[in-house]
Amino acid sequence: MNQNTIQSIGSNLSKERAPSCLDDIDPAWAWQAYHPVTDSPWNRRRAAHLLRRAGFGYRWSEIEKAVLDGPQNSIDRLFDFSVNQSFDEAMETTGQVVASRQDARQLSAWWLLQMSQIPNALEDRLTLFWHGHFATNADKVQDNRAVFSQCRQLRRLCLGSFAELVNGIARDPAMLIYLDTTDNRKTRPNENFARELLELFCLGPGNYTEADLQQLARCFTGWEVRTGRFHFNPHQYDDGVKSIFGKRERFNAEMALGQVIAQPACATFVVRKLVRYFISDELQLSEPLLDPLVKEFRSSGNAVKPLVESIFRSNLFFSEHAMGAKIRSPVELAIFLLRVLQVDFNMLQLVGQLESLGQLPFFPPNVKGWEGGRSWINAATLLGRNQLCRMLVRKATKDPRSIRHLFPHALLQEDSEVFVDRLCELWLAIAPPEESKRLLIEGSERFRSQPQQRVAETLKLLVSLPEFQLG
Amino acid sequence: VNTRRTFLKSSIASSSLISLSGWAPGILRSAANGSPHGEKVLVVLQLSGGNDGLNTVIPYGDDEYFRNRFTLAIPQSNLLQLDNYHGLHPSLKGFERLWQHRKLSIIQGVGYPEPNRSHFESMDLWHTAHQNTPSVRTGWLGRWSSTLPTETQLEAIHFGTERQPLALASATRTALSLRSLDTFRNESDGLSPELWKRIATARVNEDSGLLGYLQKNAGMAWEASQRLDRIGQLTASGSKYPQTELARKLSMVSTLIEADFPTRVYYVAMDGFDTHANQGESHAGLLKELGDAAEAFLDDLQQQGNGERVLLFVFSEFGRRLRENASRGTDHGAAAPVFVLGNQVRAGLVTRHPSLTDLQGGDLKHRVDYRQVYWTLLHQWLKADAKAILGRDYDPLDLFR
Repeated sequence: MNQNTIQSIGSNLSKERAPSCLDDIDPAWAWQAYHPVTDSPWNRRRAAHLLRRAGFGYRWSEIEKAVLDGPQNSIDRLFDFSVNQSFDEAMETTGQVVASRQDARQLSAWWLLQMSQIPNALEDRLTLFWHGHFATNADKVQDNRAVFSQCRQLRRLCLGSFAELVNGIARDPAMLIYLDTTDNRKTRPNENFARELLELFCLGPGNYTEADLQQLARCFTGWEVRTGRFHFNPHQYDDGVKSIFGKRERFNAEMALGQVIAQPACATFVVRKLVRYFISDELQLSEPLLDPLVKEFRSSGNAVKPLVESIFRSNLFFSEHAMGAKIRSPVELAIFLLRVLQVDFNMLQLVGQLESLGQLPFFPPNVKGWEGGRSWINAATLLGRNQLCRMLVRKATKDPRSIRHLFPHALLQEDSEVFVDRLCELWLAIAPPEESKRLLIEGSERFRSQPQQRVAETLKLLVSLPEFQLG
Repeated sequence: VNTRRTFLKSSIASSSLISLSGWAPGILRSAANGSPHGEKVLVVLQLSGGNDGLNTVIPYGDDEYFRNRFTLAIPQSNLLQLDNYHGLHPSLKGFERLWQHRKLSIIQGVGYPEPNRSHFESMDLWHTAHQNTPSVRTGWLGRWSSTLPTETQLEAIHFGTERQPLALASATRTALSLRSLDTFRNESDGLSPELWKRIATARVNEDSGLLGYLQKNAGMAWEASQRLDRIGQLTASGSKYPQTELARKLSMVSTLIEADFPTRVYYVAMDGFDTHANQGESHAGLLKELGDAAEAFLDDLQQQGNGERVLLFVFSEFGRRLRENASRGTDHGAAAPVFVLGNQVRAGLVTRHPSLTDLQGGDLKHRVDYRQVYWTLLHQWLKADAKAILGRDYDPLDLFR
């Protein structure tokens, strides 16, 4: 770190303490690499923040290790997937078996199991992101093998180039079935895929005209799904001249996709969505703020991995603008508890619960995916989320041995004030108000001499805090 | 029916009394201060995905319809004739019976200038009524709830697991979303409701951020649980509804109306209308679910004696293109009919069917702006200040007797 960076961090510390002055964020500072300083130290709270956002949840020991290793090494380790290898192979085989069954909810259960147990969960975190971005609903596809293979494809490409992702998804049978384009003829092209490509996958509304869209739709004629596979039918392909974004050419589908991705709006659209996913639900992501990251993304040839890495390494990511600035999705909420508590839970039961809370993998509500943010919460889902969390805590704390396994011996010996503080630090992105903390301490005190009940009671209250809904 | 009604009333009264000693229970206070019986209720039913209006109210008197719907046209012999030009899709037997009982008004060709063919953008326009405020997005019904003098937190209820519709969003009020009537029944999971409430609402002066939002919803959950606790056990005794998701939702609406809930707007949505391919069978199934559920709902209200004070309003974000596509489906279009049902409506067709030859990008042109419908519903049915809610006045429609 050079001296300028230090000064620039120093000059922005006041902003970090006042996240309400959103317009004040300096774009250059935002995307410079974070280095610990007195006002934003590298500690358990920040390590937990990193591992929560990049991976769903963590063991106690992983936090301690991250604190010792520092941010740079901890972030490096996020991209090391060699630890997943044998687990991945086993899950792949299981997944193929599950995909051959009728019930797509079993496939959801399979993925939830993977998310809750895989050693390094960043790939699954990103696959879930791309699944929401290129949303496809298994109920409509009615072909679980196609759904499964789409998921594997997204996972394989999750950190690759965005162009590759779009080209892959464009020929993906599950997507084509979902968007009703399994039989696209040149006489009257089906507009659905072209519309979602522009509006939801690449550019966002306002960055194309209806005429662009209708011309683009002609490029995808002749695309079919035959016996579950992508098939190009040259007799149904419209090989005429098309006019897209002001260029007139005999565009085929591949060229057309290239045109779409080369639109200036595309990089901004993708960067904004990933920043929203990893940093904050409600931070104003203006073009000037995103600009340094967008430039970097473009010059890398729209590569996702360096983009995600820059996000994790940034000042903004470790600032108060980001800490606790996201409402946990139902999947994030459940998988966090499954990972931190290492609880063995019936995933098919979890499937039903997540469905009623509004987020079941492979069953996004529509082609726009999950909206996220405040839309996760209403009075009913909040109560349901609370009940699910307390049930998972109850299950995990039933066995006294698991308590000893989950928490270091020294922690269980601490007096209630320290005990509660430490748990809050690890489980919450934002400290609860004094009154709530007092209730937790009272709960812990009631079972001072019974470690198992003490943990159960404290955690039961802790997961009921509104702060626990933030991740 | 009477016995059930009396029981509902007494059980709510007793649960209110028990809880009145507690913490600022706005709902309960207003419930105790007198029932809203007699106030008009609006039930909004959203058909998500873009319902094919042309195969719902069918202009069979025009050959252009058959020329453009080569595989999807409903032959004249099958459809349910309304007059010598219009017919209903054969699956809409429920609507046909309501038409015969003079309870169905069909407003034809409803849309707006410069149609947007994106589901999400067009639905947002219908929800916000074209009132684009960049900071806080509010819906037409959310703004209506903001105009009410006292806050009950039960002005509007949404039934469903999908995200709460933007139409209900308000800068000052929060609408309640329910999955079922037993959503808030207190389940004993080791945490007393009172302790949960203390924990969930402990923060103070936190009104705009995410925590404030969470806390507000926790407060609503608490109030609703107090109020709904007993009613959930009575749902099984509803009238004869079909076994469909829409019917289940409408029967819950009916239960709350019968229980004299202070709610004046209910919102339910039904998905699946985005019929790009092989639409024939799927669209028929959707319309059957729609017609049968609407009929059962209106019959139920009639039996309760609430037929005169409830209106069902059915809309979709757009219609579909006149010319069918090559996948035996239809792509996103523009103008389409909306439906208003109830004892108080002036039954019949409002305005002529849009022309099938004077098109705009292959789509029907609108004859009625959807905000005219809103204006009429707000002003004449909910007796609200429609101009304040919609930003200006619109020409009213002749919807009521």
